[in-house]
Amino acid sequence: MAERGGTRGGFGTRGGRGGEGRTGGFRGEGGDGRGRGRGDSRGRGRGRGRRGQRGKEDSTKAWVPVTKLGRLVNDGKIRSLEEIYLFSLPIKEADIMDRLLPNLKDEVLKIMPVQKQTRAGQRTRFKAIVVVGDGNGHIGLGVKCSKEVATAIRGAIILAKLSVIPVRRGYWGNKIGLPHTVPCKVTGSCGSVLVRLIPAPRGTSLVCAPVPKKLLQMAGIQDCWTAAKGCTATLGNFAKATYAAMAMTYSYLTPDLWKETVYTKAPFQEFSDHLANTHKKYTVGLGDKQYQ
Amino acid sequence: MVLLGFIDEPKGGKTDNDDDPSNWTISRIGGQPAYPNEEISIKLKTCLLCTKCQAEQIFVCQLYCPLEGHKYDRTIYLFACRNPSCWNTSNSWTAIRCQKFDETVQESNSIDVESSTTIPSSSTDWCDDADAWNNDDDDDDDNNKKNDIKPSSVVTTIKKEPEKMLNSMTIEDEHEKSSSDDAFNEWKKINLNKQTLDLSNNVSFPFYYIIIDDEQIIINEAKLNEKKKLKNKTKHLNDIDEDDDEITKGGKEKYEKTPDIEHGDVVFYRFQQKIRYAPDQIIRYDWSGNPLILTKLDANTLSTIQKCRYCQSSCVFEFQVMPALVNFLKIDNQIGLEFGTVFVYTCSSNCWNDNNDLYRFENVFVQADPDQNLFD
Repeated sequence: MAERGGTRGGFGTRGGRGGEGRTGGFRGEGGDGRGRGRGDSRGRGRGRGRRGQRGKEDSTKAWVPVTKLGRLVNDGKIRSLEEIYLFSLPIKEADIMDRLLPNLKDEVLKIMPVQKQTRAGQRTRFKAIVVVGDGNGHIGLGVKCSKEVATAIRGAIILAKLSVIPVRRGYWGNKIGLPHTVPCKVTGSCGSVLVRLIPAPRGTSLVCAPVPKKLLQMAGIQDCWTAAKGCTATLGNFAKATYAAMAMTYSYLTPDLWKETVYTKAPFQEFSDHLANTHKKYTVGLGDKQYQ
Repeated sequence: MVLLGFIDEPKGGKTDNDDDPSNWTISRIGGQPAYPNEEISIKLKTCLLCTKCQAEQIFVCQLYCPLEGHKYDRTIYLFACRNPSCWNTSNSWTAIRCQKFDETVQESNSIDVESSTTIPSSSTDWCDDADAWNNDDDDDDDNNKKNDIKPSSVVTTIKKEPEKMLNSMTIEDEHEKSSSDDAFNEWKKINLNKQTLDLSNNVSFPFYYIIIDDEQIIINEAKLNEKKKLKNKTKHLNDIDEDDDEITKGGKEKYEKTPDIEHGDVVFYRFQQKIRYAPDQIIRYDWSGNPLILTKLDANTLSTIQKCRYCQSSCVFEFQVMPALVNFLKIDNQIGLEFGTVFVYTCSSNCWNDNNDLYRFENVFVQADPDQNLFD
């Protein structure tokens, strides 16, 4: 009769029968109910078998997508982040960002211990605020609280990647070269903090407090004047307000976009022409030479 | 105690080192199913048809799962319909259980069926219960305990001077939406060509073995690795202690509560948190435990499959197939079968008639990918 359970063992709650002339019996661990396999390649999760095949630690494990969007990105059917934004698809896996934005850098803004009073003393957890950005028009902000610093940082990085938004850049005056500043005056608020971003001429560099400076740098804005109001000492609110302000840049309808949105229906256009033109319009709108 | 199954490549070449594919007591994916008895395959050929489209179902996986105190060799087989219109429906999946009496098993105790926990009324409550035993709380402060998450809306409509064309225009214009929808439909046609799938018979998924590990051990190991890696990063950060400044300067300014998760799908986020230490797991085995739900689930949905169709006793959750498996179910390098997650519920008393029975059907519940409706 063939070997029961094979070399890889079986599922199920039955404790190992162990012994009986089989090597590497699971009698000791039988209480855990691992089934009856011989399973010397089961390696107690120590990396033999499946992980051992790759011959190294888990640091460079290949990404196995779990969502449909993840699978599409993995297969290369979606090549840029802008397509996801255009189709309004929710991004639920942080690895999608790693694949689509390989230059993404993360930075921890602050780790603060927060305490909660319990009957048995104080419970301390750590809150990590992390900002991710690629320096070329994408910014994300994540906040995570956890009992350990490492877990909080890791969780905050993932949340930051899930919250990446595009940042629109424009010009202060002459449209020479690449966009370098915010397209218009935008403002964002969080709590009592209000942050206002004002376009600045080339060479001004970022005139702001260290916290929004970090965010603006990672978003790829080179010149900006800012005005802040409220309790800017609360770093979390300050960072979120700046993030909200940058999110407004693509919500603002500036005059140069008027032509894009004004859809003139040419009555003699055929259906196929219509589709081709609208498709072109949108890709041109997002990847326009003037505005990135 | 949760067992996880992972993909294992079949070691080609010397077959004496590797398992025999015709052994019905091994766990594997793809290829053809191996039954304890030749009669079973003959009988099943006519039975394994999708209830929706009557096409032949394809073999997905078989799991060898003997139970404590149960003197049987027990294997469960899963079949599914490959038709794209039948994906993500519970009716197009079939689960079969085969048993064979084995005297050599030392029966220690009778099967101790843990009383399966009742399904709570809302899916987010379920998630909270599930986290209760987890020491490493992935929860934030009391934020996560709240059930309603409002997605942060940053888009506002701008009122412009009354120009003729613009009078009828707002940011959320119909034309705009339809144009971007058109673009999406175009893209879908090009990239998601489901219709061209070859539904010919005698096709099977690529063959893999399943390797089994205990979840708790994997989690402990991964946590140790994480700590080591982030030790360097956090060395200098521990010196920062600015909360004195915050309290003195800021008075009592509190952080504004914005939603943690931009996309708003809390249930899927918790699912990801649970599998984050082993994201490539394809089978999650937890006999009479709780399934790990992928999308929000109403309380009544699972009640229909919790009754054995033979002996009318209750069914318990046995295992679930994880979405990572979809990447390995490829035919000609194209995805052959899609689903979110598949729960298999089996009879708690393992009803079986030694003389007459060859196989018994079990209950299956399929959850679709959380964003499946956007892609249809």
